Amino acid sequence: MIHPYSSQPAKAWWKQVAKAPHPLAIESWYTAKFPLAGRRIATGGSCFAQHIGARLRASGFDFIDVEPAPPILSADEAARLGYGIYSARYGNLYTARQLLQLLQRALGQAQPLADHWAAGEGFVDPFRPTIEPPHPSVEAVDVLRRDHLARVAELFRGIDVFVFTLGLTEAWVDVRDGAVYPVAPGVSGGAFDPERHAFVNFSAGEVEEDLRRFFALARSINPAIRMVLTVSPVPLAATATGDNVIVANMYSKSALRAAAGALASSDPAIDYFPSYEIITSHVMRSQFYNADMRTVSATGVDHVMSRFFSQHPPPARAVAADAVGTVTAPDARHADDIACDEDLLDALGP
Amino acid sequence: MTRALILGDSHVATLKHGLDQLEPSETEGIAMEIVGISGAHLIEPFFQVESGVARVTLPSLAGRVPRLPTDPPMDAYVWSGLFHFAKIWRDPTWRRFRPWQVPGPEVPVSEQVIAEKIFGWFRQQLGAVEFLHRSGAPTWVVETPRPFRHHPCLQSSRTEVVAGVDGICHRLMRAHLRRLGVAVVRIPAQCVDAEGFMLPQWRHDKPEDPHHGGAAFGVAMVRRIRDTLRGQHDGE
Repeated sequence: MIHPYSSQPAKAWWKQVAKAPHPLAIESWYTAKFPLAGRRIATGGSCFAQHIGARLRASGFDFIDVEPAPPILSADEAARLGYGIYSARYGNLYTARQLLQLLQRALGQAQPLADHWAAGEGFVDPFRPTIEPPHPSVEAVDVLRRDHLARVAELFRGIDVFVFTLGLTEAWVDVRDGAVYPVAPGVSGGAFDPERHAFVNFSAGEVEEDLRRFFALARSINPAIRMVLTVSPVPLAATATGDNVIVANMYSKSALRAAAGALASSDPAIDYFPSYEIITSHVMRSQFYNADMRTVSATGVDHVMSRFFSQHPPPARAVAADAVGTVTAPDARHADDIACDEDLLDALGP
Repeated sequence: MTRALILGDSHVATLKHGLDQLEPSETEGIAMEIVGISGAHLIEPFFQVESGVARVTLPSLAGRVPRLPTDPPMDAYVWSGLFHFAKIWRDPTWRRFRPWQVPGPEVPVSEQVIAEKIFGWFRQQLGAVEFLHRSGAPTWVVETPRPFRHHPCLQSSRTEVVAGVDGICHRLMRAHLRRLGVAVVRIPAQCVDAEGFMLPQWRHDKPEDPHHGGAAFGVAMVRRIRDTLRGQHDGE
């Protein structure tokens, strides 16, 4: 009897996949929609995206960094000042709305009302408050931001593929203009004002719409750009929903996964890479989580990237750790050192 | 007799030249002992605190200054080297980057780039100065020359950028020392031009020397140190 499942490959059948002798032997996770070889690649997203960028760079891909560190800085110093983490010094981009607004600001299509936050004795950029220590003046924030945004625009004009890791649906927004922050005001500068700042928990539909708007905007300046989406397997550090954080996390990741899947299934220029599933699926027995059951082990990152590279073979030459170019040593940091603004919430929590 | 130990990097040689040129009467009542070591040796740890004393662990220095405070203790300690920022402003980085405050075509960077280098490269020296100060020893830090316009780096980095970097270095270091409560013996204003470069008459006698002061500068600075130790000049 012929039916739609008759022609499905083995990977479509749970009992076929789950019977692998070991979870690490599952190889059918991902089939690339388009190649990355020879393409100019940029990365951004939540904390987990830092791993992806570091491994792409180390593996010899043409990883673009439009804000390389001043050569005088050592690798550690550069990392402390937010250099070499992503393709530009935008810091962690946790939500799709953040990504959209970043590109809008870079193209001069949005100018947030709050362009600086007070932080201790200095000032920070509200949209990347932890990229480096506070500046002594608002003018410093402004000068550095203008250069940064110009380079972000340059980045999206010049790359072939943007790999974006979706992290959160929860965010804090300035109700006056809808500006979304990477961390809640008051955590890393600024002051929380209940009259001005509101909590938002984006729906799958909103995430999908933000990603579509972002991609359309990116295409308007770079028609050939492609995007690879992935969802961070790192759970929320905290939730402002009032729910149990595990429950809130399930909602968040589900919404992000749904949005990513909707885009990847509807646009040939958008691919989805299942790093989330590789880490979190119960088939994998949570083996890739550290003892805190939140951060992903180095072994886990290795396995995720091995699945990625199985479809995107690294170029023949890998970049040496001391190669000329950006200063940051490729993935020289221990997994525990990955900078995550969300960890600030952990530090502040009970 | 006030016994002062002037200790630090190669710039103390300029102070020695200056001291040698002074008539003994000019430093009457003050005995200055000058000990120098290459600044490159002061980037890595060179002392270890044990039982309330900083034991000098750098062999080339320990033979002359085995501990700080010294035994018997000096009446004053003057540290040279904390304002020698050539390693920072001469770096090729500044061909493509600039402090954000300096207008220009280069990529603007925050002061933190400079702060990272200052508090990285000078960490050990600052530790020694702070230890001396906290141990109750009268301690000063003496400035070393600002950049000279004949320095080779100015062939490829703009003077505004180099001056800007050096200015930020000075400001950050002075602020840090102020927080520590350590006074600074500053360069006389007449040694420096409006942009922050040393005037050429204060340069080293050897034309190939890009950053040390000459004997005349040494004289001026020894007089400053003398006046500070006599209480006639507070330092900063």
